[in-house]
Amino acid sequence: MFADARSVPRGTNLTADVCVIGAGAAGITLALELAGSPLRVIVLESGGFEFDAETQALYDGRSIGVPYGDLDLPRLRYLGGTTNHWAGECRPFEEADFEAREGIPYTGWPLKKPDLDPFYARAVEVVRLPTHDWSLGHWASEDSPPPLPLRSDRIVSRVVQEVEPDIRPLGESYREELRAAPNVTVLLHANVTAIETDRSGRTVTSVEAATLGGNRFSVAAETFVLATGAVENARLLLVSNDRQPNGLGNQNGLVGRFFLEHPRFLAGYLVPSGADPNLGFYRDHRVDGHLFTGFLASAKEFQLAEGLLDLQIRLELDYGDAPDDAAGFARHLMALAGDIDSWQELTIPGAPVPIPYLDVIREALEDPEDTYVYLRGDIDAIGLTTRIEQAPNPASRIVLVRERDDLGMHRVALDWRLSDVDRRNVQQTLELLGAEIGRAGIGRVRILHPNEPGWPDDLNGGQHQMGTTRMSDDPKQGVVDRQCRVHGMSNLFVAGSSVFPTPGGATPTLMIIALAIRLADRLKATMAR
Amino acid sequence: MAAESLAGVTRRVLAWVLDVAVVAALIFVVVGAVDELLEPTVGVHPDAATLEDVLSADEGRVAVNAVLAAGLSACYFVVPWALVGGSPAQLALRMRVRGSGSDASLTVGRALVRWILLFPPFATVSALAAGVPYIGALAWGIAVVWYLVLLVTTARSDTKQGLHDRLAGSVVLARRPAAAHGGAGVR
Repeated sequence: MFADARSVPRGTNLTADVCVIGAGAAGITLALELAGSPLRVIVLESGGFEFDAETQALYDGRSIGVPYGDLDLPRLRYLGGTTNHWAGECRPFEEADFEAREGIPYTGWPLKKPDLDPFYARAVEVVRLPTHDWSLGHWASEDSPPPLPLRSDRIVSRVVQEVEPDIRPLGESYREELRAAPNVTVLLHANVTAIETDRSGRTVTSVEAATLGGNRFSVAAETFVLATGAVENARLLLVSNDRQPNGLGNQNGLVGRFFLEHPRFLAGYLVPSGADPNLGFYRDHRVDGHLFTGFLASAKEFQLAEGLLDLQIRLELDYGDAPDDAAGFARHLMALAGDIDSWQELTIPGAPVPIPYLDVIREALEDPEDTYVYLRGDIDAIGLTTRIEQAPNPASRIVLVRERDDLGMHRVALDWRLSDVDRRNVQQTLELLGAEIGRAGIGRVRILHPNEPGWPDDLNGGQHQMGTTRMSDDPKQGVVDRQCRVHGMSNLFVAGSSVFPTPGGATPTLMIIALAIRLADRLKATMAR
Repeated sequence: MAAESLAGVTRRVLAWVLDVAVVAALIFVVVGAVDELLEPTVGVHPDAATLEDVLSADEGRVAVNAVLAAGLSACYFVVPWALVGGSPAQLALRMRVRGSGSDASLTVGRALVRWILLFPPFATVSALAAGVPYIGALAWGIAVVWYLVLLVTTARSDTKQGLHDRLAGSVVLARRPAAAHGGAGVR
């Protein structure tokens, strides 16, 4: 059921068996998995059913490291969390993603792929994907445009399945299930401002909650799960320093460190040898009605041999700038004239002047870039945008700053740091791609910024914030153990991408959901005893 | 009866532009409504595998739309020319179309010929020839030349009869303000 924290009497102490903080991909999955169990569950969600600027502003923070853009941009603070603007891309980690990489410190998960396979299978059901099969053999079928015919297995084509748009905002797609769950109460507009512990500082007794209107109350529970994303999970642990001066779980100074992303930027161009190559496999498309897209990546064997992490390469059509010389402009006009035969299909015949169809106008306005692509004609080059598996770096971190938000909580700053292995990964993988593309006669690869130190201006995060409460069996290497319990705490767990020790090459949401299902199973099993 | 003279080119072009805007809007609304009621005629698939597959057109519906649009356009021009002696914009701009050598409105036959000459089916030809290289561009090139011919022949004619007027047997007249017709003593 849903309830509104603004109508909870001030000073009330609510009680539950499990208190989940945050209702994004992890929090909602936990709630759904715990629904119908004997456990009484309270989910505290900061926002309501819709976006609200004042609530979203609680996420404001600064970037003090590698330029990152607005810290709040990748995430959303209302029911469904960041799934409300999720692109829906899903792919599980591969076996090699869990392994330690020689020469790259802090890599390796305490879990292995078989530990998570059963939960991945259930995660696929949560987001209603058609299959648990991501193999090229399954998706590169006769009904699909073909992958690029590369002649080696050092650069490979892979796929991500895409969740249907109406399923992606999990707060909407599972609203009725949450409303109907008798043992689950989702308390909207409830912001957790502090986590309280007993005198030992090892057991959480309650969390303090507040609304933007000034109402304050607390929630006591047997077990608490932080599920507020990589930035907020660290922030809540750091500000909760009544009993542990450095913050909860921060006895080794690791909370907030190892902030990870999938950095991306335009790393090069593929100049095709033939006009208009068929790149349909690498654009969103459907096979048997199911949505997916392809991308290029270095093979795991190459990564292991070279001491690199994963690197995705997305192929994006590039049409260059409009010609600024007379001859170039004339050629452009000729190209457009040649295209008139096709764009005439867009207009209503029989009319006194060309009038576009309603659907064409609607589509053109919705996606001007595709409209331009269609009218522009031939492809000049194909942009190669990287999505790097960032190497773990303790200096890359979330820290508290003096400024406070409207609820009196310290705001955060992100000191995003990358390392040499990330830069080397891009250079070596692009060089390899160039060799393979040339050998296959597909075209040539031009590497932008070759061997330059530093990062290009268009570097940004991939909107995947991870790694601030990393998982390790060793308390000196991680904040949570393999069960996602905070080291040194008896009843405090963390769900979400903040527990990732390495980000993998895959998008994080499916892993977040799989880990949340695994955690829910464990809570049900242990708390029932 | 108001005094009349041959209508100038500027006023006639303005009326043509206004009429075209109105009839285009009318066609857009009607065809759009039909598209909303039935399946869309043109499917747009930005995620298609190849650029050629970005569009898919229901050819039967394209033909129906061509007939619908041409019918609406013909009704808009032919009926008022034959019944009240001017299209809506011509009447608004105080012009009328009459048969050459008579003071009566155009017959339906002459009005039809005039409509066809003013709006040859360039878009239809172009749409039907979609996929045939450069036929569409050629159709639109011919359209530009055609309207230039109509404009020049109208401007250079002593009777302000462009090629379309001469072939359809029509003359366009404009009413002049009463004051300009020796009305000074009527104050």
